[in-house]
Amino acid sequence: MIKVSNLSKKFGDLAVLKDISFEVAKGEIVVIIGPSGTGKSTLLRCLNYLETPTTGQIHIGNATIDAISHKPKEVTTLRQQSSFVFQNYSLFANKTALQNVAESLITVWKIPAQEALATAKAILVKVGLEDKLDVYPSQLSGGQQQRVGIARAMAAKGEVILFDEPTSALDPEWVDEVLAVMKQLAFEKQTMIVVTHEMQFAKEVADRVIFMEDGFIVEQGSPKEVFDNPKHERTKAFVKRALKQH
Amino acid sequence: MKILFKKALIALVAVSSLLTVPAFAQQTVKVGMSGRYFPFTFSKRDVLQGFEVDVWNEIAKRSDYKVEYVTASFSGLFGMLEAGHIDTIANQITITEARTAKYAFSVPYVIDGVQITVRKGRDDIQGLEDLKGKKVAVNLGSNFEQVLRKHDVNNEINIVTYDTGIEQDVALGRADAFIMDRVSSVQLIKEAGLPLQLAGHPFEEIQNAMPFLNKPSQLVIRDQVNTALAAMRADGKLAEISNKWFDTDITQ
Amino acid sequence: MQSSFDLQYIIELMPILFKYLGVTMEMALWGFLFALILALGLALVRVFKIAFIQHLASLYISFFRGTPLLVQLFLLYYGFPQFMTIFVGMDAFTAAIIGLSLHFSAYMAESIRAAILGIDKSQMEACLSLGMTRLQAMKRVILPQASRVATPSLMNYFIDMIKSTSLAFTLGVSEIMAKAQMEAASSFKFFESFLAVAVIYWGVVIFFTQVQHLLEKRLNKAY
Repeated sequence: MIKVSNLSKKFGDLAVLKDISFEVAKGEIVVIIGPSGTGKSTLLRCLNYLETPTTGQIHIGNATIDAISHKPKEVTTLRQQSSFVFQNYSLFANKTALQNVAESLITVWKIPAQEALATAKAILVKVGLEDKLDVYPSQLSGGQQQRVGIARAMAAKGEVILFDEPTSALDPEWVDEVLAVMKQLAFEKQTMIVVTHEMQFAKEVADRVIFMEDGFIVEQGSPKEVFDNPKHERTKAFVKRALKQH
Repeated sequence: MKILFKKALIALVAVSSLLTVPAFAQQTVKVGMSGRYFPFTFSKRDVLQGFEVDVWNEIAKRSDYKVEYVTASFSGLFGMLEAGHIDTIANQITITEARTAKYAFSVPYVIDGVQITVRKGRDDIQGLEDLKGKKVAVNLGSNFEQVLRKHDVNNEINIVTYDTGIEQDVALGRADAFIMDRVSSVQLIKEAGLPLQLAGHPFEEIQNAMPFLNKPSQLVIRDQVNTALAAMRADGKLAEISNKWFDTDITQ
Repeated sequence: MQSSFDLQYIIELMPILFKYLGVTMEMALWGFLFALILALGLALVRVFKIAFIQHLASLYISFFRGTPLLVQLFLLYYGFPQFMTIFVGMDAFTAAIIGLSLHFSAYMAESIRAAILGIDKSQMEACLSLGMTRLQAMKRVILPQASRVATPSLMNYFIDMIKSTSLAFTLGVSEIMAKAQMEAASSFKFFESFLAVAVIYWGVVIFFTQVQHLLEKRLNKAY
């Protein structure tokens, strides 16, 4: 239900993504790994159209978009098919945790406020923040903020949740609580595409692992295949280095 | 009896209709003035009054007009006339060639003279000749600047235009003299309590009237004003108003 | 010879000036309201870089910041009516409000735009990622935060506008400056008259400075 064809992205003369094509099935959990600066985040941001691809087609759920010929309205529609969890949480500073989570329901999906807030509350309870409903982001810890960020993405009625290095900016003490929420989501078969350096998480939770380098997909397969039996030299080198650190 | 009653009824209806018709036909005339030209137009305790106000109230009474006084700084009055925001200006507007070319004046209602006023004790200035090399203040937009320049062929007088306060600067010694009409100068010296004195006799006669735009609707008002002024001259009302404010008749 | 300071005159003048303070404040409040609406529109047009209109906005801002308020008032009240008769019906009070609104909106637009640009890009990104339009993002997230940043600057312009109403007397509006001038011209007590009106302006500004402090405190309390 997600199909990416021939996606490329250039920043001026610098080609960050070169001809990316892949598919993701409903309920599948895909983890993207690779060295920093190889375009992983850019790929993810393109899916949510936070970056404009140079060429290619993106198809998510009911929405399709062609990078070269599209109308502005199609962009908004595409964005509504997926939700994003940011590395630096990007919570709405002027809204409480509850309001943050309910925002998309009220503004984008036009759900009456009372119903939206009830739904939001339920999700926040699920991620373990029932006592922080009326608290502003500035008064939450990093881990709490990210859990609100995930709750906000969960509420957004998208087909897939995109995670852009969700734990990279967290103090080690909060990484586990966020990974726990993500594991729970995976268990519930929420379609997820995660860019991360947490190899243990990838090993445990991913259905498929994609290894990217220099703007290309070098190799993809099940965690067992990529981590234990990588086909390419570069995959081998990266995995060796990455696993040594954990 | 019946016929008499009928005649009385018709007469009553006719008279009452005459009484009510003026109320509907009363035209509003907007008269612009600066409100800052004692004693022609000034405001004391927030009551607009003065020679001009009395004259216009009388004109309005005789012409069945309703007057609306609009006050603005003098330099803006002609702009308001041009733009149609006021019908005329009652602020001692002197009839000049340049102004006659543009506007239709009423008959003159004040005859005055151009007067030099200096700080008390400045006996060194007795007339136009003595102004050479001196700093002389005039009101912005008034014709006194032109009059002075006309007499100052060689540009020997330092003429400075003020929006307000010419008498203040002369009293303070910041300017050597100011030029204004004789009548208001006399009143000003009497009322202001400032150390000022007249310098010599007026060096030019001036006739003041009210300017109107050269449009048919405005000329109608101008002609009506002329009629009223003529009547006021004839029965002495104009002179009476003059004496009230100046103890003398400045209208001829 | 210096005449002695007449305090009694000032005390007697105050009630007269106070009577017209309402005119001054009405001009300032309406002027500020319209300026704010205009400024918001101008700022958004330039932030969103809407084709063609953003250049019109830039031209507008350049003109109204680049010419003196007095010149703008004169053009509006004396200049245009000579060519376009619909303007003749506009009274001085209305002209003053329009002039003040146009003039200050140019400055306020820049304040608002700066405040919007100062909000972290990630806030807009988060809105867009959820499928909100840019306008929705502005309304729900960006502008509420930007208003906190812009408040000191906008309040400054409001205070400036209160004092700028004193120029309306050149159009013939009877506000406190006009009254002070007229009374001074008849009583010749210039120092006392203008001191009195200065005190009134000062008092009004002090009052609104306090309002500003309360407003900022309330805005900063939330988050």
